[in-house]
Amino acid sequence: MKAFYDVHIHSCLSPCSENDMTPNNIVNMSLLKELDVIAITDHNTLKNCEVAMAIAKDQDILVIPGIEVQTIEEVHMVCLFRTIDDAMAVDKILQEKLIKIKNKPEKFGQQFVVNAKDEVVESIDNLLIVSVQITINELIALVNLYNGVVFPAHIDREYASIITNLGFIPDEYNFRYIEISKNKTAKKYLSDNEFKNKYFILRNSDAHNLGMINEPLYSLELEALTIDCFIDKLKKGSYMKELSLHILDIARNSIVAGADYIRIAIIEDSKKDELIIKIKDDGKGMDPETVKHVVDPFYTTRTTRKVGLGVPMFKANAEACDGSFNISSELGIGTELVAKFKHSHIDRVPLGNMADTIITIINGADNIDLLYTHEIDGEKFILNTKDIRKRLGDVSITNVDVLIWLKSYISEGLEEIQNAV
Amino acid sequence: MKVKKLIDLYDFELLTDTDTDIEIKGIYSCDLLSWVMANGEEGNAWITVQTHQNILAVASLIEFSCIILPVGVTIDQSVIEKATEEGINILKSNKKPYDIYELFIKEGIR
Repeated sequence: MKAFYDVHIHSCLSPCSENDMTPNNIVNMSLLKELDVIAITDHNTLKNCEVAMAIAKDQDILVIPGIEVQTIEEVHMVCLFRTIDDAMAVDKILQEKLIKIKNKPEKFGQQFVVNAKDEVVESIDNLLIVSVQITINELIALVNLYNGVVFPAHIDREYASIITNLGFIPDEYNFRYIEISKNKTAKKYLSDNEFKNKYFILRNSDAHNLGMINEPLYSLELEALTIDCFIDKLKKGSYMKELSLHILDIARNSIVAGADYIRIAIIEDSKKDELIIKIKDDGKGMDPETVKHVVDPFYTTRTTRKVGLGVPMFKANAEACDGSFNISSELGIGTELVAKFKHSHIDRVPLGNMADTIITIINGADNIDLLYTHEIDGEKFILNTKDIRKRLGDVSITNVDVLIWLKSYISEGLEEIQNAV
Repeated sequence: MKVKKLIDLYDFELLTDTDTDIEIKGIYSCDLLSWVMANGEEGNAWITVQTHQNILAVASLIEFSCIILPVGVTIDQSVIEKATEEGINILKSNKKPYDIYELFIKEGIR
Protein backbone atom coordinates (compact mmCIF):
# COMPACT_ATOMS: atom_id res chain seq x y z
CA MET A 1 0.00 0.00 0.00
CA LYS A 2 0.97 3.58 -0.55
CA ALA A 3 1.48 5.29 2.81
CA PHE A 4 1.67 9.08 2.97
CA TYR A 5 4.01 10.04 5.75
CA ASP A 6 5.48 12.81 7.83
CA VAL A 7 7.79 11.29 10.41
CA HIS A 8 9.44 14.45 11.73
CA ILE A 9 6.96 16.59 13.67
CA HIS A 10 7.62 18.59 16.85
CA SER A 11 5.00 18.75 19.58
CA CYS A 12 4.53 21.44 22.22
CA LEU A 13 7.29 19.72 24.19
CA SER A 14 9.92 21.16 21.85
CA PRO A 15 10.59 24.72 23.05
CA CYS A 16 10.77 26.08 19.51
CA SER A 17 7.36 24.76 18.46
CA GLU A 18 4.00 26.43 18.99
CA ASN A 19 2.07 25.59 22.14
CA ASP A 20 -0.93 24.45 20.07
CA MET A 21 1.15 21.55 18.71
CA THR A 22 -0.59 19.25 21.16
CA PRO A 23 -0.84 15.54 20.35
CA ASN A 24 -4.59 15.91 19.69
CA ASN A 25 -4.08 18.81 17.29
CA ILE A 26 -1.21 17.07 15.50
CA VAL A 27 -3.13 13.81 15.07
CA ASN A 28 -6.29 15.60 13.92
CA MET A 29 -4.45 17.90 11.53
CA SER A 30 -2.63 14.88 10.07
CA LEU A 31 -5.97 13.11 9.63
CA LEU A 32 -7.35 16.19 7.84
CA LYS A 33 -4.31 16.16 5.61
CA GLU A 34 -4.96 12.47 4.91
CA LEU A 35 -1.59 11.26 6.11
CA ASP A 36 -1.19 7.57 6.94
CA VAL A 37 1.94 7.63 9.11
CA ILE A 38 3.30 10.34 11.36
CA ALA A 39 5.94 10.45 14.09
CA ILE A 40 6.25 12.81 17.01
CA THR A 41 9.94 13.71 17.12
CA ASP A 42 10.72 16.27 19.78
CA HIS A 43 14.21 17.53 20.51
CA ASN A 44 16.02 15.04 22.75
CA THR A 45 12.89 13.65 24.39
CA LEU A 46 10.19 11.06 23.72
CA LYS A 47 7.81 12.11 26.48
CA ASN A 48 4.84 13.18 24.32
CA CYS A 49 4.86 10.04 22.15
CA GLU A 50 2.81 7.71 24.31
CA VAL A 51 -0.13 10.07 24.57
CA ALA A 52 -0.11 10.73 20.82
CA MET A 53 -0.10 6.98 20.13
CA ALA A 54 -3.03 6.51 22.52
CA ILE A 55 -5.02 9.31 20.84
CA ALA A 56 -4.43 7.78 17.40
CA LYS A 57 -5.18 4.23 18.53
CA ASP A 58 -8.70 4.01 17.11
CA GLN A 59 -8.08 6.41 14.28
CA ASP A 60 -7.09 5.81 10.72
CA ILE A 61 -3.51 6.91 11.26
CA LEU A 62 -0.31 5.38 12.59
CA VAL A 63 1.77 7.26 15.15
CA ILE A 64 5.39 6.13 15.54
CA PRO A 65 7.32 7.05 18.70
CA GLY A 66 10.31 9.11 17.65
CA ILE A 67 12.92 11.62 18.71
CA GLU A 68 15.24 14.13 17.10
CA VAL A 69 18.56 13.73 18.89
CA GLN A 70 21.28 16.37 18.76
CA THR A 71 24.54 14.46 19.01
CA ILE A 72 27.87 15.60 20.39
CA GLU A 73 28.83 16.63 16.83
CA GLU A 74 25.75 18.94 16.94
CA VAL A 75 24.16 16.87 14.20
CA HIS A 76 20.41 16.24 14.27
CA MET A 77 19.37 12.62 13.85
CA VAL A 78 15.80 11.33 13.76
CA CYS A 79 15.26 7.98 15.52
CA LEU A 80 12.07 5.92 15.28
CA PHE A 81 11.05 3.01 17.50
CA ARG A 82 8.71 0.05 17.25
CA THR A 83 7.15 0.28 20.70
CA ILE A 84 6.72 2.89 23.38
CA ASP A 85 8.67 0.64 25.77
CA ASP A 86 11.72 0.66 23.49
CA ALA A 87 11.31 4.40 23.04
CA MET A 88 11.13 5.17 26.76
CA ALA A 89 14.08 2.89 27.55
CA VAL A 90 16.17 4.92 25.11
CA ASP A 91 14.71 8.16 26.49
CA LYS A 92 15.99 7.21 29.94
CA ILE A 93 19.52 6.62 28.65
CA LEU A 94 19.54 9.83 26.62
CA GLN A 95 18.24 12.01 29.49
CA GLU A 96 21.25 11.04 31.58
CA LYS A 97 23.54 12.22 28.79
CA LEU A 98 21.68 15.45 28.05
CA ILE A 99 23.69 18.57 28.82
CA LYS A 100 22.14 20.25 31.84
CA ILE A 101 21.12 23.84 31.17
CA LYS A 102 17.96 25.37 32.63
CA ASN A 103 15.38 26.48 30.07
CA LYS A 104 14.42 30.16 29.89
CA PRO A 105 10.84 29.80 28.60
CA GLU A 106 10.54 33.51 27.76
CA LYS A 107 13.53 33.15 25.48
CA PHE A 108 13.38 29.60 24.07
CA GLY A 109 9.71 28.69 24.56
CA GLN A 110 7.72 26.33 26.75
CA GLN A 111 8.42 22.61 27.09
CA PHE A 112 5.08 20.96 27.88
CA VAL A 113 4.33 17.29 28.45
CA VAL A 114 0.57 16.91 28.03
CA ASN A 115 -2.13 14.29 28.57
CA ALA A 116 -4.81 12.99 26.21
CA LYS A 117 -6.98 16.03 27.03
CA ASP A 118 -4.17 18.40 26.04
CA GLU A 119 -3.72 19.42 29.67
CA VAL A 120 -0.18 20.23 30.75
CA VAL A 121 1.04 17.56 33.17
CA GLU A 122 4.67 18.58 33.31
CA SER A 123 6.86 21.44 32.23
CA ILE A 124 10.40 20.22 31.56
CA ASP A 125 12.99 22.38 33.32
CA ASN A 126 16.11 21.38 31.47
CA LEU A 127 16.55 23.01 28.07
CA LEU A 128 15.94 20.39 25.40
CA ILE A 129 17.61 22.10 22.44
CA VAL A 130 21.17 21.27 23.46
CA SER A 131 23.43 18.32 22.65
CA VAL A 132 23.19 14.88 24.16
CA GLN A 133 26.67 13.62 25.10
CA ILE A 134 26.54 10.80 22.58
CA THR A 135 28.39 10.42 19.28
CA ILE A 136 26.56 9.57 16.05
CA ASN A 137 28.26 6.19 16.17
CA GLU A 138 27.04 5.47 19.69
CA LEU A 139 23.55 6.69 18.86
CA ILE A 140 23.29 4.34 15.88
CA ALA A 141 24.43 1.44 18.06
CA LEU A 142 21.97 2.36 20.81
CA VAL A 143 19.00 2.66 18.47
CA ASN A 144 19.92 -0.60 16.76
CA LEU A 145 20.07 -2.25 20.16
CA TYR A 146 16.46 -1.23 20.64
CA ASN A 147 15.56 -2.38 17.15
CA GLY A 148 14.74 1.11 15.90
CA VAL A 149 16.01 3.07 12.93
CA VAL A 150 18.04 6.29 12.58
CA PHE A 151 18.34 8.70 9.70
CA PRO A 152 20.15 12.03 9.46
CA ALA A 153 17.74 14.97 9.57
CA HIS A 154 17.54 17.84 7.02
CA ILE A 155 20.98 17.11 5.54
CA ASP A 156 20.71 20.18 3.28
CA ARG A 157 20.28 22.66 6.12
CA GLU A 158 23.01 25.06 7.16
CA TYR A 159 22.54 24.35 10.84
CA ALA A 160 22.80 21.04 12.71
CA SER A 161 23.02 18.90 9.59
CA ILE A 162 25.45 16.07 9.07
CA ILE A 163 26.86 17.62 5.88
CA THR A 164 27.31 21.11 7.33
CA ASN A 165 28.97 19.87 10.50
CA LEU A 166 30.95 16.90 9.19
CA GLY A 167 31.53 18.01 5.60
CA PHE A 168 30.07 14.85 4.09
CA ILE A 169 28.11 11.76 5.07
CA PRO A 170 30.52 9.06 6.30
CA ASP A 171 30.00 5.83 4.34
CA GLU A 172 30.61 3.70 7.41
CA TYR A 173 27.16 4.56 8.78
CA ASN A 174 25.50 2.79 5.87
CA PHE A 175 22.54 5.15 5.80
CA ARG A 176 19.99 4.14 3.21
CA TYR A 177 17.42 6.79 4.03
CA ILE A 178 18.26 10.42 4.62
CA GLU A 179 15.97 13.40 5.13
CA ILE A 180 16.00 16.44 2.88
CA SER A 181 14.17 19.50 4.15
CA LYS A 182 11.45 21.39 2.39
CA ASN A 183 13.58 24.55 2.29
CA LYS A 184 15.19 26.05 -0.80
CA THR A 185 18.48 24.40 0.13
CA ALA A 186 16.94 21.02 -0.82
CA LYS A 187 17.27 21.74 -4.53
CA LYS A 188 20.99 21.07 -4.69
CA TYR A 189 20.53 17.49 -3.50
CA LEU A 190 17.27 16.76 -5.27
CA SER A 191 18.89 17.54 -8.61
CA ASP A 192 22.03 15.51 -7.87
CA ASN A 193 21.61 12.13 -9.55
CA GLU A 194 24.63 10.55 -7.94
CA PHE A 195 23.23 11.49 -4.55
CA LYS A 196 19.80 10.18 -5.42
CA ASN A 197 21.27 6.87 -6.55
CA LYS A 198 23.04 6.46 -3.26
CA TYR A 199 20.23 7.31 -0.85
CA PHE A 200 16.50 7.02 -0.54
CA ILE A 201 15.12 10.41 0.30
CA LEU A 202 12.55 11.21 2.97
CA ARG A 203 10.71 14.51 2.82
CA ASN A 204 9.36 15.36 6.23
CA SER A 205 7.97 18.65 7.42
CA ASP A 206 10.03 19.20 10.61
CA ALA A 207 6.79 21.00 11.55
CA HIS A 208 6.84 23.45 14.44
CA ASN A 209 3.28 24.61 13.78
CA LEU A 210 0.14 22.85 12.55
CA GLY A 211 0.14 24.41 9.10
CA MET A 212 3.62 23.09 8.37
CA ILE A 213 2.64 19.40 8.61
CA ASN A 214 3.03 17.64 5.25
CA GLU A 215 0.26 17.56 2.69
CA PRO A 216 -0.22 14.03 1.27
CA LEU A 217 2.66 14.45 -1.21
CA TYR A 218 5.31 12.04 -0.01
CA SER A 219 4.70 8.34 0.31
CA LEU A 220 6.42 5.00 0.88
CA GLU A 221 5.26 1.64 -0.40
CA LEU A 222 4.50 -0.53 2.64
CA GLU A 223 3.39 -4.14 2.96
CA ALA A 224 0.95 -3.17 5.67
CA LEU A 225 0.23 -0.10 7.73
CA THR A 226 2.16 -1.12 10.83
CA ILE A 227 5.10 0.43 12.67
CA ASP A 228 7.14 -2.72 12.04
CA CYS A 229 6.58 -2.50 8.29
CA PHE A 230 7.54 1.17 8.24
CA ILE A 231 10.71 0.69 10.25
CA ASP A 232 11.70 -2.47 8.37
CA LYS A 233 11.33 -0.50 5.14
CA LEU A 234 13.76 2.14 6.40
CA LYS A 235 16.17 -0.44 7.77
CA LYS A 236 16.29 -2.55 4.65
CA GLY A 237 19.65 -2.38 2.99
CA SER A 238 21.22 -0.38 5.75
CA TYR A 239 20.69 -3.25 8.11
CA MET A 240 23.43 -5.53 9.35
CA LYS A 241 26.38 -4.44 7.29
CA GLU A 242 28.50 -5.56 10.22
CA LEU A 243 28.30 -8.72 12.29
CA SER A 244 28.47 -6.69 15.51
CA LEU A 245 25.01 -5.33 14.65
CA HIS A 246 23.68 -8.89 14.61
CA ILE A 247 25.27 -9.40 18.01
CA LEU A 248 23.54 -6.28 19.31
CA ASP A 249 20.25 -7.45 17.89
CA ILE A 250 20.51 -10.86 19.53
CA ALA A 251 21.69 -9.37 22.83
CA ARG A 252 18.59 -7.20 22.76
CA ASN A 253 16.43 -10.30 22.41
CA SER A 254 18.19 -11.71 25.47
CA ILE A 255 17.47 -8.53 27.44
CA VAL A 256 13.82 -8.62 26.40
CA ALA A 257 13.71 -12.31 27.44
CA GLY A 258 14.62 -11.21 30.96
CA ALA A 259 18.12 -12.66 31.00
CA ASP A 260 20.35 -12.07 34.04
CA TYR A 261 23.35 -13.47 32.25
CA ILE A 262 24.54 -13.11 28.65
CA ARG A 263 27.58 -14.87 27.30
CA ILE A 264 29.07 -13.68 24.01
CA ALA A 265 31.95 -15.69 22.57
CA ILE A 266 33.75 -14.94 19.35
CA ILE A 267 36.27 -17.41 18.02
CA GLU A 268 38.41 -16.61 15.02
CA ASP A 269 40.46 -19.51 13.70
CA SER A 270 42.61 -18.84 10.66
CA LYS A 271 43.72 -22.48 10.34
CA LYS A 272 40.16 -23.74 10.06
CA ASP A 273 39.22 -20.51 8.26
CA GLU A 274 36.32 -20.06 10.65
CA LEU A 275 34.61 -17.26 12.50
CA ILE A 276 32.22 -18.45 15.18
CA ILE A 277 29.82 -16.28 17.14
CA LYS A 278 28.10 -17.85 20.16
CA ILE A 279 25.52 -16.04 22.23
CA LYS A 280 23.91 -17.67 25.23
CA ASP A 281 21.49 -16.34 27.81
CA ASP A 282 19.47 -17.51 30.79
CA GLY A 283 16.31 -15.70 29.69
CA LYS A 284 12.86 -17.18 29.61
CA GLY A 285 13.62 -19.32 26.55
CA MET A 286 11.31 -20.44 23.76
CA ASP A 287 9.33 -23.57 22.99
CA PRO A 288 10.26 -25.53 19.80
CA GLU A 289 7.34 -24.04 17.89
CA THR A 290 8.49 -20.48 18.61
CA VAL A 291 12.08 -21.32 17.68
CA LYS A 292 10.84 -22.54 14.32
CA HIS A 293 8.99 -19.28 13.77
CA VAL A 294 11.93 -17.19 14.85
CA VAL A 295 14.20 -18.51 12.11
CA ASP A 296 11.45 -18.44 9.51
CA PRO A 297 11.54 -15.15 7.60
CA PHE A 298 7.78 -15.16 7.17
CA TYR A 299 7.39 -15.09 10.90
CA THR A 300 8.01 -11.36 10.83
CA THR A 301 4.90 -10.64 8.78
CA ARG A 302 2.76 -11.79 11.70
CA THR A 303 1.21 -9.08 13.76
CA THR A 304 2.29 -10.58 17.09
CA ARG A 305 5.93 -10.32 16.39
CA LYS A 306 8.30 -10.89 19.25
CA VAL A 307 11.75 -11.25 17.78
CA GLY A 308 11.95 -9.40 14.51
CA LEU A 309 13.96 -9.61 11.38
CA GLY A 310 17.30 -10.04 13.11
CA VAL A 311 17.47 -13.80 13.48
CA PRO A 312 16.50 -14.79 9.93
CA MET A 313 18.94 -12.21 8.56
CA PHE A 314 21.72 -13.43 10.81
CA LYS A 315 21.04 -16.98 9.63
CA ALA A 316 20.92 -15.97 5.97
CA ASN A 317 24.17 -14.07 6.42
CA ALA A 318 25.96 -17.08 7.95
CA GLU A 319 24.67 -19.51 5.37
CA ALA A 320 25.65 -17.19 2.53
CA CYS A 321 29.23 -17.43 3.79
CA ASP A 322 29.54 -21.24 3.66
CA GLY A 323 28.68 -21.28 7.35
CA SER A 324 25.91 -22.58 9.52
CA PHE A 325 23.43 -21.30 12.03
CA ASN A 326 21.91 -23.06 14.96
CA ILE A 327 19.58 -21.91 17.68
CA SER A 328 18.54 -24.04 20.62
CA SER A 329 16.25 -22.94 23.36
CA GLU A 330 14.44 -24.34 26.33
CA LEU A 331 11.59 -22.73 28.22
CA GLY A 332 12.72 -21.46 31.59
CA ILE A 333 16.37 -22.30 30.89
CA GLY A 334 17.51 -19.94 28.15
CA THR A 335 18.62 -19.70 24.55
CA GLU A 336 21.87 -20.47 22.79
CA LEU A 337 22.73 -19.40 19.31
CA VAL A 338 25.78 -20.39 17.24
CA ALA A 339 26.61 -18.77 13.92
CA LYS A 340 29.57 -20.02 11.90
CA PHE A 341 31.11 -18.16 8.98
CA LYS A 342 33.88 -19.03 6.57
CA HIS A 343 36.35 -16.36 7.75
CA SER A 344 37.73 -15.54 4.33
CA HIS A 345 34.43 -15.73 2.46
CA ILE A 346 34.09 -12.83 0.06
CA ASP A 347 30.56 -12.07 1.24
CA ARG A 348 31.40 -12.10 4.92
CA VAL A 349 30.76 -8.60 6.26
CA PRO A 350 33.30 -7.25 8.77
CA LEU A 351 32.88 -8.00 12.44
CA GLY A 352 32.58 -4.27 13.16
CA ASN A 353 33.44 -2.39 16.30
CA MET A 354 33.13 -4.87 19.18
CA ALA A 355 34.17 -2.33 21.84
CA ASP A 356 31.25 -0.04 20.91
CA THR A 357 28.91 -3.02 20.74
CA ILE A 358 29.81 -4.34 24.18
CA ILE A 359 29.63 -0.84 25.70
CA THR A 360 26.18 -0.36 24.20
CA ILE A 361 24.96 -3.63 25.68
CA ILE A 362 26.36 -2.74 29.11
CA ASN A 363 24.85 0.72 28.89
CA GLY A 364 21.48 -0.66 27.82
CA ALA A 365 21.24 -3.32 30.52
CA ASP A 366 23.48 -2.47 33.43
CA ASN A 367 22.08 -5.14 35.75
CA ILE A 368 22.93 -8.04 33.45
CA ASP A 369 26.10 -10.09 33.91
CA LEU A 370 27.86 -10.06 30.59
CA LEU A 371 30.72 -12.41 29.86
CA TYR A 372 32.47 -11.56 26.61
CA THR A 373 35.35 -13.65 25.31
CA HIS A 374 37.16 -13.13 22.05
CA GLU A 375 39.68 -15.65 20.80
CA ILE A 376 41.96 -15.22 17.81
CA ASP A 377 44.07 -18.30 16.99
CA GLY A 378 44.37 -19.28 20.64
CA GLU A 379 44.97 -15.76 22.02
CA LYS A 380 42.11 -14.80 24.30
CA PHE A 381 40.51 -11.62 25.63
CA ILE A 382 38.01 -11.89 28.48
CA LEU A 383 35.63 -9.30 29.90
CA ASN A 384 33.37 -10.18 32.80
CA THR A 385 31.10 -7.38 33.98
CA LYS A 386 30.33 -9.28 37.19
CA ASP A 387 33.97 -8.98 38.30
CA ILE A 388 34.15 -5.38 37.17
CA ARG A 389 31.00 -4.45 39.03
CA LYS A 390 32.37 -6.08 42.17
CA ARG A 391 35.54 -4.05 41.91
CA LEU A 392 33.64 -0.82 41.24
CA GLY A 393 31.73 -1.12 44.50
CA ASP A 394 29.25 1.75 44.75
CA VAL A 395 30.22 3.26 41.40
CA SER A 396 27.78 2.39 38.61
CA ILE A 397 29.14 0.52 35.61
CA THR A 398 27.25 2.98 33.39
CA ASN A 399 29.12 5.94 34.88
CA VAL A 400 30.53 7.85 31.89
CA ASP A 401 34.14 7.61 33.09
CA VAL A 402 33.78 3.87 33.67
CA LEU A 403 32.33 3.39 30.18
CA ILE A 404 35.13 5.41 28.60
CA TRP A 405 37.66 3.32 30.48
CA LEU A 406 35.90 0.07 29.53
CA LYS A 407 35.81 1.05 25.89
CA SER A 408 39.53 1.64 25.71
CA TYR A 409 40.16 -1.48 27.82
CA ILE A 410 38.25 -3.59 25.29
CA SER A 411 39.82 -1.87 22.25
CA GLU A 412 43.31 -2.34 23.67
CA GLY A 413 42.62 -5.92 24.73
CA LEU A 414 41.38 -6.86 21.28
CA GLU A 415 44.30 -5.13 19.64
CA GLU A 416 46.70 -7.01 21.88
CA ILE A 417 45.38 -10.41 20.87
CA GLN A 418 45.28 -9.30 17.25
CA ASN A 419 48.94 -8.29 17.41
CA ALA A 420 49.98 -11.40 19.31
CA VAL A 421 48.88 -13.60 16.41
CA MET B 1 57.40 28.15 12.86
CA LYS B 2 57.38 24.39 12.57
CA VAL B 3 54.87 22.08 14.23
CA LYS B 4 57.59 20.55 16.39
CA LYS B 5 58.32 23.90 18.01
CA LEU B 6 54.85 23.85 19.55
CA ILE B 7 55.74 20.56 21.19
CA ASP B 8 59.34 21.36 22.16
CA LEU B 9 58.79 24.89 23.42
CA TYR B 10 55.14 25.45 24.20
CA ASP B 11 53.99 22.29 25.91
CA PHE B 12 51.64 21.09 23.17
CA GLU B 13 51.14 17.33 23.32
CA LEU B 14 51.55 15.33 20.10
CA LEU B 15 48.88 12.61 20.09
CA THR B 16 49.88 11.01 16.80
CA ASP B 17 53.03 9.23 15.73
CA THR B 18 53.65 11.56 12.82
CA ASP B 19 56.21 13.89 11.20
CA THR B 20 56.24 17.30 12.89
CA ASP B 21 58.95 18.84 10.75
CA ILE B 22 56.30 20.81 8.86
CA GLU B 23 56.02 24.56 8.47
CA ILE B 24 52.92 26.24 9.90
CA LYS B 25 51.83 28.84 7.37
CA GLY B 26 48.89 30.32 9.19
CA ILE B 27 46.10 29.60 11.59
CA TYR B 28 42.48 28.66 11.05
CA SER B 29 39.67 27.95 13.46
CA CYS B 30 36.16 26.62 12.81
CA ASP B 31 34.12 23.55 13.74
CA LEU B 32 31.70 23.28 10.83
CA LEU B 33 33.61 20.98 8.51
CA SER B 34 31.77 22.04 5.36
CA TRP B 35 32.87 25.61 6.11
CA VAL B 36 36.44 24.50 6.78
CA MET B 37 36.52 22.60 3.48
CA ALA B 38 35.49 25.76 1.66
CA ASN B 39 37.70 28.25 3.51
CA GLY B 40 40.71 26.54 5.07
CA GLU B 41 44.11 27.13 3.50
CA GLU B 42 47.04 24.83 2.89
CA GLY B 43 49.63 24.78 5.67
CA ASN B 44 47.28 26.27 8.29
CA ALA B 45 47.26 24.99 11.83
CA TRP B 46 43.59 24.19 12.45
CA ILE B 47 42.06 24.71 15.89
CA THR B 48 38.86 22.74 16.36
CA VAL B 49 36.73 21.06 19.00
CA GLN B 50 35.22 18.72 16.42
CA THR B 51 36.80 15.27 16.83
CA HIS B 52 34.72 13.17 14.48
CA GLN B 53 36.82 11.01 12.12
CA ASN B 54 35.82 13.28 9.23
CA ILE B 55 38.31 15.91 10.49
CA LEU B 56 41.06 13.71 9.05
CA ALA B 57 39.52 13.75 5.59
CA VAL B 58 39.19 17.53 5.79
CA ALA B 59 42.75 18.01 7.09
CA SER B 60 44.25 15.92 4.31
CA LEU B 61 42.05 17.55 1.67
CA ILE B 62 43.23 21.04 2.65
CA GLU B 63 46.72 19.84 3.67
CA PHE B 64 46.68 21.47 7.05
CA SER B 65 50.01 21.38 8.88
CA CYS B 66 48.33 20.13 12.05
CA ILE B 67 45.07 19.88 13.97
CA ILE B 68 45.08 21.52 17.41
CA LEU B 69 42.59 20.49 20.07
CA PRO B 70 42.27 23.29 22.63
CA VAL B 71 41.79 22.71 26.35
CA GLY B 72 39.11 20.28 27.48
CA VAL B 73 38.61 18.44 24.18
CA THR B 74 38.78 14.64 24.19
CA ILE B 75 39.29 12.47 21.13
CA ASP B 76 38.67 8.82 20.40
CA GLN B 77 41.74 6.59 20.21
CA SER B 78 40.55 5.18 16.88
CA VAL B 79 40.70 8.66 15.31
CA ILE B 80 44.26 9.14 16.58
CA GLU B 81 45.30 5.81 15.11
CA LYS B 82 43.74 6.67 11.78
CA ALA B 83 45.53 10.05 11.85
CA THR B 84 48.86 8.32 12.42
CA GLU B 85 48.13 6.07 9.47
CA GLU B 86 47.31 9.08 7.31
CA GLY B 87 50.25 11.10 8.59
CA ILE B 88 48.16 13.91 10.04
CA ASN B 89 49.49 15.71 13.12
CA ILE B 90 47.03 16.03 15.99
CA LEU B 91 48.15 18.18 18.91
CA LYS B 92 46.49 18.73 22.22
CA SER B 93 46.93 21.97 24.12
CA ASN B 94 46.00 23.02 27.62
CA LYS B 95 45.47 26.54 26.30
CA LYS B 96 42.24 28.23 25.21
CA PRO B 97 42.00 29.22 21.53
CA TYR B 98 42.60 32.90 22.35
CA ASP B 99 45.87 32.08 24.11
CA ILE B 100 46.93 29.94 21.16
CA TYR B 101 46.33 32.85 18.78
CA GLU B 102 48.37 35.08 21.05
CA LEU B 103 51.25 32.62 21.00
CA PHE B 104 51.12 32.33 17.21
CA ILE B 105 51.13 36.12 16.79
CA LYS B 106 54.17 36.31 19.08
CA GLU B 107 55.81 33.77 16.76
CA GLY B 108 55.12 36.05 13.80
CA ILE B 109 52.31 34.02 12.27
CA ARG B 110 49.41 36.13 11.09
